[in-house]
Amino acid sequence: MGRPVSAGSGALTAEPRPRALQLDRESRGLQGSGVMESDGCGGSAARDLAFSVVGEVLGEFGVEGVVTASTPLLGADGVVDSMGLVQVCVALEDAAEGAGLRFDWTSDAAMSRSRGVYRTVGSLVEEFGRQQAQGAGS
Amino acid sequence: MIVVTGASRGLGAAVVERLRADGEAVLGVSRQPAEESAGLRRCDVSRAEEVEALAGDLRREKQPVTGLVNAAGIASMNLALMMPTATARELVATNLLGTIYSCQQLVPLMVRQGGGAVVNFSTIAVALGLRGESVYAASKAGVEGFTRAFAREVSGLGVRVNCVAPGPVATDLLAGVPEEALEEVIARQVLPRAFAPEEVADLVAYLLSPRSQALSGLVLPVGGV
Repeated sequence: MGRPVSAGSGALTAEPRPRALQLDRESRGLQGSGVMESDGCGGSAARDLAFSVVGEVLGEFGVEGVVTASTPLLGADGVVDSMGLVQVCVALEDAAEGAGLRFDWTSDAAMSRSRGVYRTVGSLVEEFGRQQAQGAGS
Repeated sequence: MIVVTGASRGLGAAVVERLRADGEAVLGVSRQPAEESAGLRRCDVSRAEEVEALAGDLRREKQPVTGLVNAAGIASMNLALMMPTATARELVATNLLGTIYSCQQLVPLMVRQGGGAVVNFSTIAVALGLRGESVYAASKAGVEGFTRAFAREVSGLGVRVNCVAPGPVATDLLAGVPEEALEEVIARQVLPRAFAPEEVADLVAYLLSPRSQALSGLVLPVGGV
């Protein structure tokens, strides 16, 4: 059996690991709309929520260091494998639903390292924010 | 909870009966349920939006899904050259896409529980290459290929995926199939006899249970080929 993921909170319910992970929002402009635009990450509450959730799950996976929008998710330098990515997406879906939103994590380019929405933390957060801005939510 | 598609009749109904007898919580899903109840809901698995809605309901209800049996299926015995394209499309939509849609939408619910087991349905016609079943067998061959690859995709998430491939079993699906054709198929099995729905349900129950925790990515032909 894999590690259970809690429904609703977006957090893994496995035993928490020591957290050596830092979320560096400010250096990537995840709290300021001006810088956000230059980063292409946007500044909405939805993006902040996504960034927090992704950081939380990566922490549970034992990812250490500083997570920024440019942190690679998939690929040779990626911090998770495809199974970890599924857990990230499940947590995002739960978090979205808890906020009355909806997150569709299907994508034809999901595994593309050049154009996939899962290539970096920032691209995933951006996709999450884009969907909410477009009213993909319920 | 174990979700069983195609639950209103045939092998799906036999699986539901067996699992409930074992004390399992079962949600049956059917395109045309006699009546909806707490244990039976309407859903056409060939329609992605309906499967998505079902999964959304279960997620919001926080139903702990730990098993999925994709028993929904249709058959049309005919030569491929004589089969209307709409029928061919319907076969693939229900048998193959229905299985894929159900896995896509319901396996994430298992991931939330830490894992689970999926049992898909194929047919012995795939292995035997039966005349008059080419399109039906093609749709089920897709299920077998999906089972093998999908099992690898989700093994790290604690989800096992296997496939049962029955030979002739006394269900509505065989209505209209000539007796001599059935006997010809049975004669080609390792165990040359017809099997009862309850025997297939036994195998499904085993594949869902922790007793089969070492098995994933398998296609098991009932009766052997």
